[in-house]
This record gives sequence, C-alpha cells and structure tokens, in this order.
Amino acid sequence: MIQHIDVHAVLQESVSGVYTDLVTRPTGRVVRECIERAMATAAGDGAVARIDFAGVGCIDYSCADEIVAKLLRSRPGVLVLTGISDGHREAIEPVLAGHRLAVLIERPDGTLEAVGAPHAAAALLEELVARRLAARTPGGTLTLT
Amino acid sequence: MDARRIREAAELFEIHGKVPRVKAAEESDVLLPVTPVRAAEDVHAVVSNIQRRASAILASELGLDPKATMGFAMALSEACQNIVEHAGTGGWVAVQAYHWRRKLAKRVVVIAVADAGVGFRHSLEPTQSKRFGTRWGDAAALEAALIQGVSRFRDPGRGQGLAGIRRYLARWDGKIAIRSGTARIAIVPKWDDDVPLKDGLPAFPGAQVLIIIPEQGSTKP
Repeated sequence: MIQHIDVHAVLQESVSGVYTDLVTRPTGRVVRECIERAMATAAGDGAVARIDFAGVGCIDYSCADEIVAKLLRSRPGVLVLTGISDGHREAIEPVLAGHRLAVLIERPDGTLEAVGAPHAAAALLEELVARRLAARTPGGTLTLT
Repeated sequence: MDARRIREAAELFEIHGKVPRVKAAEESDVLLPVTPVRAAEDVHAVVSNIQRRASAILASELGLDPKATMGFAMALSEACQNIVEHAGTGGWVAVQAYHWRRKLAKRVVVIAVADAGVGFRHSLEPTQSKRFGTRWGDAAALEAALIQGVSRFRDPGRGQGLAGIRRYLARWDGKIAIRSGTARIAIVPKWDDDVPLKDGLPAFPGAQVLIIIPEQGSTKP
C-alpha cells in the first residue's frame, strides 16, 4: 500500500492557512512532525509514502533540511517525492548531497529518479529493485510496482 | 527610511541630530520596502510578498529565468532567517532594484538585511573560538560562517543557509558582503573590486548582509 501525504494541505492545516511556501526551520519542523505522525499510523517498516509537494511555492534550504533530510535520516519507510518543481529540486538536491543522502522523485509520467549524493542515489535504486518496490520498464526507467 | 522605521531604529540606537526628511522612494524600484523581521512568520510574509511583487521584474529586467526567481526567494528567506535564528533581536530587510550605470551599465537587485543583535562572533564563540585560537575575532567568525559554512548549532544540517546563498550567487554572478563587529567579508565577483576581508573597522553591533544580483548577460569588464 502506498500512503499519500499532501504537503500543501499539511502546511495549511498545521502552520498557515495563508502562505504556500515552505520556509524557515520552525515551519519545516512542524510540517515534518505532522508527516511523521501520519506515517506512523500507516503500515510498519518498508511502507512507501508518496510525499506530494504540488501546490507548495518556494522551499528554502532550511526547510529542505528540516523536512526531507530529517525524514530520510529517521528512515520511517521509503519516501517518494512527487509534485517537485525545478525550484524545489534546487533546494533539496544540494542539502541531500551535503548529508550524503538520496531520495526518490516520481516524475509526472510515473518514472522514478534518485536525487542527492550519487553513491546514495545508486544504492537507493538498487535497494528498491531488490525489494521489488520498483521495476524496470522496457525503456530502462524505473516505476513503483 | 520612513518615520516608522526611524522610530523603530530609535528603540535600538541613539539617534543624534535632526532626522532628515527623505523623499518617498520610487515604487517601481522598491521590490520590498524596509520591513521588520522578528519571527518566522515575518519571513513567510517577506517571501510571499517578494514572489508576488518581484518575480516579473526579476525575469523581465534582470533576465533571470523563473527557476532563478525561486532561488532568489530562497536566498532572501535564508538571509532573513539569520536574524530570527541568531541575532537574538529583531532586524530589517529591504529589496531594491538599481541601475548601476557607471559600475556595471546594468540593472541590479540588492537585498539588504540588518539586525542589531549579538553579531557573528558572539553567536559562534561557544563552538568555534577554540578551533581558531588566537585568530578568533570578528573576521574569523565571518570567515567560519560564510566560507566554511559553520553554525552555532551542532545539528549536521545547520549552516545550509549561507552555503545555499553562495551557490545561488555563484550561478548568477552575484555578490554577498557581511559586516559584523569590526570586520566585513565579501565574496567578490569579477565585475566588482571589493576587498574580500576587512578587519579593524568601527564596531558595528549585529550584522548587515548585502546580496547583489546583476542583470544577466555580458558584464562590463
């Protein structure tokens, strides 16, 4: 089962009903804690959570660290980010590279890409295939099973 | 600076003499008027305002692509957060566009952030002064924060803000200068002739951060 978490909705409910940007550490902390609680109520280890950033405006480096990097470090399950814009990537990629972490991004066509530190990204894709959470398409790309 | 800002400044500084009357700034050049920053909520408001008001100007006049305008908001957010996280008091931010005819023959956008807080040296002293030994001072603290990306927090994810601003400016040929205590540090692009590090300046409490992003395209040598 894949759990779906709408980050924009979490932001609106937990921090601000007005702003759409993920900025500042306090905001990131509150949003991450909401996501962690939601993931804890879902299936145990190995669960896949699709974290949807659609509708989120700007993400700054502090929020990328506070949300994405800290979620990955706590390893609550397999994280797949969707609704990621180029601007979001600009914050997330260098933060993860600095931590030697990687995360999966699901593109609009459903294919997966691992971004962050190159070694961690390669290992993450291998692990997904080994655990049969993702499979290679005839075109060589990966999608969630 | 309007009357309200003067009143706010008077809470922190001794103001000598008569306050000059200043003409209202041209609205078209003010992307964000001098805005107080005290809490995370203020940073949200600043980022939201700048995206609403400045995206078109950044794209059309500076030739930045939409991806860069998002980076601009990120840089602005991180610069403002330094006040909230480290200054121990409130500060201000302003964003203005100028036409630097002589220096660059280009338009530039300038982010100015200032606070009257504890300053970089005081903020980093508990975790960094031992490492620098006798070299420790305002200049060393600025170098540690801007060049080495250290933070007073031991969390390994800290220090992302200034590092992110540096990456953004490297991509868009921008400049950053930080003044705190008796020192000033700058990352100087080719189009500028600023000094990378100055020490022994008159003491300034708190910090001033200046970020300059020039119009994209060929730069005057």
